[in-house]
Amino acid sequence: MREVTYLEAIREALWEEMEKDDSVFILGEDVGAYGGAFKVTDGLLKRFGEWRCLDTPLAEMAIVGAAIGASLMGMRPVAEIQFSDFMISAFDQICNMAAMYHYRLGEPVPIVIRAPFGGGFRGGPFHSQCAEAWYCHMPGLKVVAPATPYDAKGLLKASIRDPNPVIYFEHKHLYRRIKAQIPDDDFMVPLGQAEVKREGTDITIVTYSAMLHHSLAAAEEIAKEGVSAEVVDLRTLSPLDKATVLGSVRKTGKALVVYEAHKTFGVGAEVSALIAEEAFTALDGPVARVASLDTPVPFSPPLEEAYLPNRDKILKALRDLAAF
Amino acid sequence: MVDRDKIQEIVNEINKVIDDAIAYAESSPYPDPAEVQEGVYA
Repeated sequence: MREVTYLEAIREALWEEMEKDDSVFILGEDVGAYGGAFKVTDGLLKRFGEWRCLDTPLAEMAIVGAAIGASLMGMRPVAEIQFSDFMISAFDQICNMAAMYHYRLGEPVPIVIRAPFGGGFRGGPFHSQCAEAWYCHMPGLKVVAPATPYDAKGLLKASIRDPNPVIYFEHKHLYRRIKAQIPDDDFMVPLGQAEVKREGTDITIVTYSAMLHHSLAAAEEIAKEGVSAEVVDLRTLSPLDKATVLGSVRKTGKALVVYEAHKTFGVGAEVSALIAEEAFTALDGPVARVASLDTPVPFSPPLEEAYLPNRDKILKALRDLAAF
Repeated sequence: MVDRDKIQEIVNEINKVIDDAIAYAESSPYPDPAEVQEGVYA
């Protein structure tokens, strides 16, 4: 075991998969000579050369289109979109091409699109969005959003080896803030499996990515008041691990969904609907949500703080649910 | 250099591939509606 940051865990996954499989290569803006906007790909160019660590023009549609074409020729490309906000420019290639190829033609498209996302670092409206729900809505795509170094590494390795297009949302705010011990040996985290990160008996918190850490902090705080909160980390958003979510809610009888994206039409809406449809009789209270406001991500620090979910907002929702 | 005859030869080859595919599709039964959710993922 050794301690790594969330960012280092992602780099290790790329490095190890490129060592293991010659068909794996990375492409994106500044991933080579500069080592990536956040330095995730630092060192890969020197080790693997410019044909497996491709600097591309600023053209997201071309990056994803080239990745799709390479995958159809037997390669396993990992495309980096510098900020997930810019992935919108490649929406047609992702949704109309990558997501549908297997259904239309029977051809697998084993690509990974790494997309740094999320706010909390004063990045403003073009560099902080959480647009994961758009891609979860698309059959044919898999969508993951790890919260810990172990999951970041294990899920990226599983994503690279998966035969489907996978959108890998990595949270910028976690890159260097979150450290943890991970095993030295090769391991993977299977796609489609949530994990109970904290066991509890009174309320289930369903969350993912950076909000896991705020949720765990809120759960620890409310435990001092005699309320036991279970925290489910979805890890993979699509396909959703319904069994783990429903199993926890059936045990606790109450559910709070916490996510960083805009509240309306987000992943939390889908999770809430799932609970209402399949665990209604187990509920002892309304399914509640804590999410960001339905505005663009503000640049101003006090406005961004007001916009984002945090420990205290989650704690208030937990107290309201506990008292229901 | 490609000449007019070569171009026509390529066009004929392409047309044959398309005609064969259309004939195959039109002679095949419609799929069972139960298959509608198959093949979304590889």
